Order: sequence, then structure tokens, then C-alpha cells
Amino acid sequence: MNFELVAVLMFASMLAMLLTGRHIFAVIGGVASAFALILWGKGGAGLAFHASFNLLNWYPLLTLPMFIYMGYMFSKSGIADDLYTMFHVWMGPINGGLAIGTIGLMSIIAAMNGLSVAGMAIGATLALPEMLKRKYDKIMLTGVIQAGSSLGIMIPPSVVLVLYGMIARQPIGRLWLAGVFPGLMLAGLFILYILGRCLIQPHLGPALSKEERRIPLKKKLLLLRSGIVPLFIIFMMSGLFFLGITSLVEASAVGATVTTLAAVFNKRLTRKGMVEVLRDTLSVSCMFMWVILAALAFGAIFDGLGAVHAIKGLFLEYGFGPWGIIIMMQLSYLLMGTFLDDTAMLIIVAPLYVPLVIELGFDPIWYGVLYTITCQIAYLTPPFGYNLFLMRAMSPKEITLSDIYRSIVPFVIVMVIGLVVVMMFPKIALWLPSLYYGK
Amino acid sequence: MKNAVKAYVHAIDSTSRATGKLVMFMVFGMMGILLYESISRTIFNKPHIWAVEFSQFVMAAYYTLGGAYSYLIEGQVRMDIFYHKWSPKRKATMDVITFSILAFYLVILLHGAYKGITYAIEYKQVSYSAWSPVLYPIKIIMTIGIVMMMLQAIAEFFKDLARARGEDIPKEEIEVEESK
Repeated sequence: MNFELVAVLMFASMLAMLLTGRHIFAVIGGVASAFALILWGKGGAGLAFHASFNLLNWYPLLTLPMFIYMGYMFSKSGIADDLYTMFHVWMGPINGGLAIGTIGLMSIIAAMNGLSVAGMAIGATLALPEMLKRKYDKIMLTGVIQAGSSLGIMIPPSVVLVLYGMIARQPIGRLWLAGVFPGLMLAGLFILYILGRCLIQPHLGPALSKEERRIPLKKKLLLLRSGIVPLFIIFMMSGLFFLGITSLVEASAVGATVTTLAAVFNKRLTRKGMVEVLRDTLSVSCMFMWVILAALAFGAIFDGLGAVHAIKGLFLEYGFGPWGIIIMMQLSYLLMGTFLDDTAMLIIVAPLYVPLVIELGFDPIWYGVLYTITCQIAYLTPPFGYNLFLMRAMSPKEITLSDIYRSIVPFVIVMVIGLVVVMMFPKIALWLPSLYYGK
Repeated sequence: MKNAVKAYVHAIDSTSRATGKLVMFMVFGMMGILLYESISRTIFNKPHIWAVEFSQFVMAAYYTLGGAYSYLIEGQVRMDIFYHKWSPKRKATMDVITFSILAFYLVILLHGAYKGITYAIEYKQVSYSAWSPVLYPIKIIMTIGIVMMMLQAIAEFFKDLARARGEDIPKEEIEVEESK
């Protein structure tokens, strides 16, 4: 059988079975196992386990449970509460200020965590109720929280870039540094959007009332202290890593430990809270890992079929130029990302695309950043996005599913603009790593 | 549900739960090893060749042994675009049907695991690293995790079968006892 036919059959049967609501890992793994048997008979039977055992070669994956733990611990530590108060007081007086403050808060959280979960949890439980109380437009702020939390996978540390780095065999340090400016740029674009929108329609984000604004300057300045702990955590984790003192996996363990200590010193950590953190960490780690295991088996089939050459042939056959190919790749990611689990998509598709990207003469570090922005968009877009599960589970009752769907539209547009800008000006991503590590 | 089935479901649920509550502390194990290594290497200049690989083994045990528990507490993600709109009964019926694909995957995994273990023991397979530990222990641990996942999946299948017939069986409550 030729590759195109197998690929289409595999994706089609996977999609059909995903729609039944069966667990994603089971569908991906089941389809992979079935096709391994069909294609290679008895020899294909061992593929699923073999692929999952290969996961042990990917030692940077150790950062995944560490970052998940850190995210949950962070949301329990009370550090975010103080930070939120700071942004609330400082940004509140302008129209849309609380939404802008939330983007700021999310950026700082993103610099302390490699996933979006922590930002989403803190945004939905802390910022959302406060903004609703102050008559912010619920659709706008639902979008703010989802878009803001997606920065978690762009601003270093980033688990998505770790996964990409393993697949593309690129140094994680460079990838993380490459994510700094695109991440900040996206945060800036979100803020610009909020500012502009609230300038035209001030009722969407009313400024704080006079009474609420009357806070002595001294108190305001003291609030800035809440930034010290995050800076310390960022230094201990990313700082020591970029200085070359700790290795990648060590840095994640240091980060997890420092966050735990911060929670203990804040006196926020109860026995019950600790058990919750451990349980949620186990549950989410297992979810990701079982999906990754299954996706590895799925990818192994493509590998066995020589899919890299087939994809190359496919793209060249239709006469796309190098840029045409890059654009087609991003479009295909966006399309698949709406239906597929982002992690699974990365593991299945990235190994096919990355060799071609390198062969076309593009920088794989830059491509990693493009990929991550696409992932952020995929993470937001329905019908499948983790944000939908999280938002529905965490947000107050008055936020309906259709609010969640509608809220993302402007932010997705902003992110697509960001994607295009980084495509046109690769320096935005590549300047910092080449400054720090040299060419 | 028949009594024997009830007993099975109860036994498997409590085993998975107990295992999960134990396994979740392994995250401290990984953290501890990595922290010990970073301090030992950077401050005392004493690196250990086993540290990263050993913590990887802990991680493999962590997510395979914890799999059944995550399945029990509905921690595994579904694409629920249609699923979340259905009635509990309809959900259960669909889960009974699609159980086949999960069972198939797990059987294939187990088959591969069995072959992997016998190979590892027969040829004294070691990993390609400076430490080069034997690999069969971790393969056995991972296989235990897959078996537990299978037993848990069967338990959930029985629950769904009963729900599909109209029995009211609550989903596992995600709750933490204060005592633990």
C-alpha cells in the first residue's frame, strides 16, 4: 500500500473513532496497533510496546511531571494572589486595565511554568470572578484568560518546545530563548487589542471606581514586592539553566522545589492541598504520557512507511516553493489542531515536517517557534482544545460554552497576525539565542 | 450487577486507588534524585552516571502504574464534542461499544510487553549508557501497569454495562480524605 492511502485511512479512522468520545489515548493507540498488524502482520504486533519503551530514550520528558507539579503547586502557593493584587491596583484605573493586568499576570506565570494549565487555573479562579464583579464584558475576559494562558507554552520554560527539541534534535536552551520575544510580542499584541477595543467601547472594561482607586502611594509601592518571589523562582529555574549551571531536567526539579518552598513560606500549603497537588499531577501526567505513548506508536508506522519522503514528494509534486511549503505546513497544523490533541499532533506530524524544513534551508529553531504559535492557536480552537475542558470545568456558571467559543475569535486573529509577523521577521525569534549562544 | 461482578469492580477500584495514592508520591522521588544530582554535581563536583536514567525509570513506573488510577478518576481526556451532550445512559452505551478499541490496544501492548520482557531476560538486555543497567525490571514494572490498566478498563466496562441498562452507578468522586 502506498503511504498516502495509509495515512488518509489512519487519520480518517482515528477521527471517526474520536467522535465517539472514547479516550484519546485508546483511539490513537488502537488505530496504530490495528494498522501495524494489517501492514506487517505478526511482526507489527510488538510495535506499540516497543514504541512506548522508546520513550525512555527521551530523558527531557522528565520535565513534564515536574512542570505539571510546579503549575499546581504554584496555583496553591498564593504567589499568584499577591501578583494579581499588584496588577489590580496598578492597572485598574484605566479602561480595560484589569484585562491588561491579567495578560501581565499570565506572562509572569508563563515564565515560571512550561504548560498552560497553571495560567488557566489561576485566571479562571482568581482574575475571572474579580473582573465579572467589576462589570467587565464576560466574553472579552473569557478570551483574555484563554489567550493569556496559552502564553505558558511560548515564554520559557516551555514543555512544547522541549518536545519539539527532542523530535527535531535541537538544543532546548536555544529554543527557549527563541520563544522569549515572540511570547512577549504576543502578550503585547493582546494588550494592544484590549486597549484599542476598550477605547472604542469603554463599557467592555470599565475603569475602577474612584473609591477603589484611592490607595496611598506607599501601599501601592509596597505591593510591588510581590514580584520578588516570582523573580527568584525564574532565576533559580531558567536563570541557572541558561547560565549553564543546571541541566534541563535538573532545572525543572529545582523549579518544582523552589515553588514548594515558596508555598510553605507563604503558609498556604495544607495537607489537603498537598494531596490535591499530588493527585492532579499524577492524573495529568498520566494523561499526557499515555497519549504520548499511543502517538509514538502512530508515528512509528509513518516512520516505517518512509513517510518523510512521501510528504516531501507530495509537497514538491504540487509545485509549492519553499515558502509555500512552510505556509501549507502551518495551515495543515491549524486544521489538524482543531480536531486533534495538540501533543499527539506534535509527535505524529513534527517528525515528518522537520527534516523537510531543514532541507529547504530554514532554521529549525525559528520553525520551532512558528510551530509553538500554531500550537497555541490549536489549543484555543474548538472542537478540540484543552482550554475548553479546563475553562468549562473551572469557570463560574454564567460563562456558557458558546461564550467560550465566541470569546476566542479576536484573539485567534491576533495570534495569526503574530504568526505571520514571526514568519516575515525571523529575527524576532532568532536574535536572542544568537546573541547569547553565538551563531 | 451480579454479586461476583460487583466484587470484582470493588476489588479493582480499591486496588487502583490505593496504588495511585502511593504512586503519586513518586514525583518527590524524581525531584529528589534530580535535586541531589544537581547539588552533588555543581557544588561538590561529583556527578553520578545513574541519576538521570534512574529518575527516568521512576517516571516510567510513575505513569504506567498510575495509569489505572487516572482512568478511574476520569483523568484521561476524551474528545467530547458530542459526548458531553449525551445522557449518562447514552454515554455508557457508547463506552460499552468502544471498549473494544481500548481492549484491543491493551492486548497488543501486553503482547509486545511479554515479548519485550522475555527478550530482555534472555539476552540480558542493558540500556545503551555509561551506567548500562539491565532493562527487564523496568519492563516488568511497566507491564504490571498495563495489566492494571486492563483490569481497570474491564471494571469500567462492567460499570458502563450496568449504566447502559439503567442502573445508577456514580462516577468515581474526585475527593481527598483529610486523613491521608
